[in-house]
Amino acid sequence: MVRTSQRYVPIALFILAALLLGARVLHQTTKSDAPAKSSLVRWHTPKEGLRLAAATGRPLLFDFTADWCGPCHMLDGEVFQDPAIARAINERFIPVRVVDRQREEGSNPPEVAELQRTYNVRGFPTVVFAASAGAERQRMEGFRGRAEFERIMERAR
Amino acid sequence: MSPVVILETVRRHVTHIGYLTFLALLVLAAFATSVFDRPAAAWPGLLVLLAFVTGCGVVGPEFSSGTLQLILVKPVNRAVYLVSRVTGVVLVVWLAGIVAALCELAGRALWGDSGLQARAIGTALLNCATDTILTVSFLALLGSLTRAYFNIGIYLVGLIGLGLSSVVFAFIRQTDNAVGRFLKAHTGIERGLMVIDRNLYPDLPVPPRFDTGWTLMVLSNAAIALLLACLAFRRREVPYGAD
Repeated sequence: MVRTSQRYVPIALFILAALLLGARVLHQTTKSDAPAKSSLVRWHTPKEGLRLAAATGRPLLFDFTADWCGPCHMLDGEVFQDPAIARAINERFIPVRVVDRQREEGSNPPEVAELQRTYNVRGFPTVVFAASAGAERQRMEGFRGRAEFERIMERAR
Repeated sequence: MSPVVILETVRRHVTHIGYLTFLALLVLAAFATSVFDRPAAAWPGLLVLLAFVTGCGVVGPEFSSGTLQLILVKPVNRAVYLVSRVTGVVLVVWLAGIVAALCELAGRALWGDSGLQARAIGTALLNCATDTILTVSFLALLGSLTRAYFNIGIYLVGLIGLGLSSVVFAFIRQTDNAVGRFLKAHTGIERGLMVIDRNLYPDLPVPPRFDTGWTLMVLSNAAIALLLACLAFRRREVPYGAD
């Protein structure tokens, strides 16, 4: 009896794998239909951000990032998801997120490539604080913690 | 599953000097990093290493040492034996993870100044526990197909090769020669390698957070690896005696 029931282990595993795969596909499908994870910082696209900065005269904050970049997710989780920092960024700057798609798509949209060239972005994450006209004030290359980010942001005011 | 095999696997590990030494190292790392602002800064990485070290001996070495035949003459189905072995190893790693997480919590309660951060530590433990299932299942699959410790070699070649390939390809892509242009035109090659890398050797979410997509990916891959391991192990010819 026990030995007979033991034979069903691969079948049970097959059902488990099929169920998990189904759940994974379902999650992937529903995720792509759902709106992106809400961010506390009100990010703008490069075009929008540059237009808004020119119109309002507020300085810019560029977050150069990439989907595959682990430290970029750490920066997002520990800094940009901090309510106090997010509020300060939204009040003082025009936040612009510049997402690199080179690895995924082989090339970047022209405005992304142009901004990366202008601010000499060599790696991710790179955060550049710039005047509304575009002149660079401060930058942070790599993820150096929340305290360091706040220090650089204060200097960039 | 066979409780005897599971318990014997757990007993064999927890009484092993290597495991106890590693556990002491985990405890030290957990206490030392409990003063850091960032929760679970060191021990999840060590736990991944422990899963790898313990997982590589699931079946492969037993083919070569000749002990497998002695076990398989018992009235236990091969698939059940394999799943029980994997369960035992996973439990052993989970046990070490629970100890490390408790030590970090104790350290934070005693001398930390950035709060207990129990939620983040618990999430890190959950992610490590999930990742362990995949690591051990994948090593069991490789062990079912090979002998001795060849599964470690294949696992490491995959891990290092896939990790390096993204760096090498990114470098080549920047060059303006024929290969660079080919890679720019055929981005699917790099994307495909990235997908394989992410599926077989997933990075733990940093900072610790619960990600449903990541969890489902890891668990489904682990189930597939274990299923394939069972199928391969059922059909393997078990040699008589040691190599």
